[in-house]
Amino acid sequence: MYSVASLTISDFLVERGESDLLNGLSFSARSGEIVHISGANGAGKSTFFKALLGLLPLLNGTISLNGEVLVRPAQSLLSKSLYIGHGVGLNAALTVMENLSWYFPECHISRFQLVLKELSMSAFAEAQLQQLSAGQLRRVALARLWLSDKPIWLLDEPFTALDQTLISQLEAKMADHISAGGIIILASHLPLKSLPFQRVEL
Amino acid sequence: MNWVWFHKLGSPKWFFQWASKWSTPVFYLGLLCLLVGVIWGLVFAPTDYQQGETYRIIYVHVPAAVLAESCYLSLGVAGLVYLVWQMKMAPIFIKSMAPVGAAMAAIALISGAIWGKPTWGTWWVWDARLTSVLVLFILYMGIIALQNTLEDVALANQAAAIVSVLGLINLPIIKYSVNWWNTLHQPASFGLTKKPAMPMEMWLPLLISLVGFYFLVAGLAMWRMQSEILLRERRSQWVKEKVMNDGV
Amino acid sequence: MTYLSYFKAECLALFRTKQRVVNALLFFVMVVVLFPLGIDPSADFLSPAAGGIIWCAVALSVIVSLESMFKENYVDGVLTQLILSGLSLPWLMLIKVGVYWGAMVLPLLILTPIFSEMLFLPSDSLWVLISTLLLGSPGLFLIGSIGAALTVSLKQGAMLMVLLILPFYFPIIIFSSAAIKAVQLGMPYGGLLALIAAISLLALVVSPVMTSLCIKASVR
Repeated sequence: MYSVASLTISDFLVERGESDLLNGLSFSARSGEIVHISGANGAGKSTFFKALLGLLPLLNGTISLNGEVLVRPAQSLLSKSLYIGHGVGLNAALTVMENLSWYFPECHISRFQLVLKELSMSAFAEAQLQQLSAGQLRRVALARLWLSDKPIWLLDEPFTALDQTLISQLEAKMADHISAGGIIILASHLPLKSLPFQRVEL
Repeated sequence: MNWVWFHKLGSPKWFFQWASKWSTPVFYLGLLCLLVGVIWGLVFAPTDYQQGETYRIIYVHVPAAVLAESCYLSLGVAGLVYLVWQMKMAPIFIKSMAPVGAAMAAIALISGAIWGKPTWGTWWVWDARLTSVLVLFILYMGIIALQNTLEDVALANQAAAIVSVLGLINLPIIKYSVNWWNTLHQPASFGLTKKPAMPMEMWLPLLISLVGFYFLVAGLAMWRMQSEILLRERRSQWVKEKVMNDGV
Repeated sequence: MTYLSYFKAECLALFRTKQRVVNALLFFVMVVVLFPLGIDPSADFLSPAAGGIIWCAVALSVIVSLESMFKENYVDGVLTQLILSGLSLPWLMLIKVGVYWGAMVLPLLILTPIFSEMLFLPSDSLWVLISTLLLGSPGLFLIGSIGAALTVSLKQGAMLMVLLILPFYFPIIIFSSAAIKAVQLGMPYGGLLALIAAISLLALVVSPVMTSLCIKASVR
């Protein structure tokens, strides 16, 4: 079980170029819940994650963890959350294996091999990222979900470029995570197929 | 210590109202001082026994050079203020001040070249002081280029602040380069602590002209900052109201 | 992610893209060759100018090699993950600059004796040239990384980076070539070496913080 019981966001307001986004967005996610953020392009889905993680300054708004308002939200959230955004976050000059062992130096190689096998990427373990397709790159990026032990997952459009099998695999993995008491916040314009979720419209 | 003024200074609205009261008088006071100083210096001040009439260019050259350095000092301070406190006014100040400073550095360089030809027999020497004013000019151009190239305003603010702070390192090099390197350039004409080396009748118009430059630049900067504030705060209520009431 | 694993990854990545380092070194060679070709191939001109020529070529090739150091990481979202890694971003930046420095400075030190011979630099000045390179090049890399971070979000930032960063290189270049001239004239040069080291140390303190500020402002 994870130590995070709840994550509450209240009154978010972010200035982005010419307009204010997220007008007063508020929601609360308890342990074992999925929050699904949806909205049209440009509604501020990615902006929300960036504001949550402190990459963008908040004009207004608070973040609370387990009912306590965080004074320095970014610092406190980073150690508990895993963010996968539009950029895959992988070093293109390295192989798949090298990228994974860069992120998780404490894990043994056999663990990587298992995860890659599950994502049907075993054949590409030693391939350089430049040779992979967009969907394969996404898989490597998502492999971090299998390897990480962070309780809060922040996923920005996780289903982009994935095929049907992998989408259902990912949903199964998400089900595991929430049943273990994790929290998932994901932004997508597609609804989840098999999982219960709390819907937040931007 | 009372920090209210500091917070007030950070508010574009407050600064705009303050500047709209003071910018015009300050500018014209500067213009007046400059006219008095320059006319006095060019027409009435005594001729130098060594350099003859050519020395008179110092009534433009010295103030411009001093201002070029002062402007950069102020940019560096503003950059530091922005990096530490994220004060909204600081990048507005940097953006408005950089072209003014660049103009001052250019005036100093050009007037120095005009003076150098009859005195040293050459338009330009690669002396430490001249070179560092040239570097200062390049630094100003870099800041201007950076702000014009980066489209994201927040990023442009941060970047300009960082370069300004880094450039502050260049100022002591300018200031002490006269001592560091053995050069052609005469030592600084001005010092607050030491007695002026030139006679009072030459020194006084220079002082007035320098004060005139300072006020002129302050007035110019306030004008530029006002328009920059209007541009950046165009979405805020008070700017909309002001434009509705007073027209543009 | 740990500091060690990041260091390893950076070393590997730079090793895989070693052509970039080779290109920067070739650029260095080209700049050096320009001087005898463009100005004067005689020993009378080259011998006193050699130190300055080599230093100008080093400064330019460092800028060229650093210009793209964050570009791919920026596009791929690696920089975002570095910021979110929970590790201190200034230390990560210092590691990255250190790796780049190590990769560039060793081949440069090998090339230097060859080119100082070709430029007729007196052999007793060679050691001073190498000392200035060892002391000054960390400063070049540290200051350059700030410029690379400032222009990371631009598609074509090379020009702007040269404009912004080269003025900050002037003191290092001036003191280095002054030290080499000093030894050729038989004057003491220890103070100049100390000044170069001081600039590099100052850059060591300032640069990682400034670089990470720029990176944070660029990743939005």
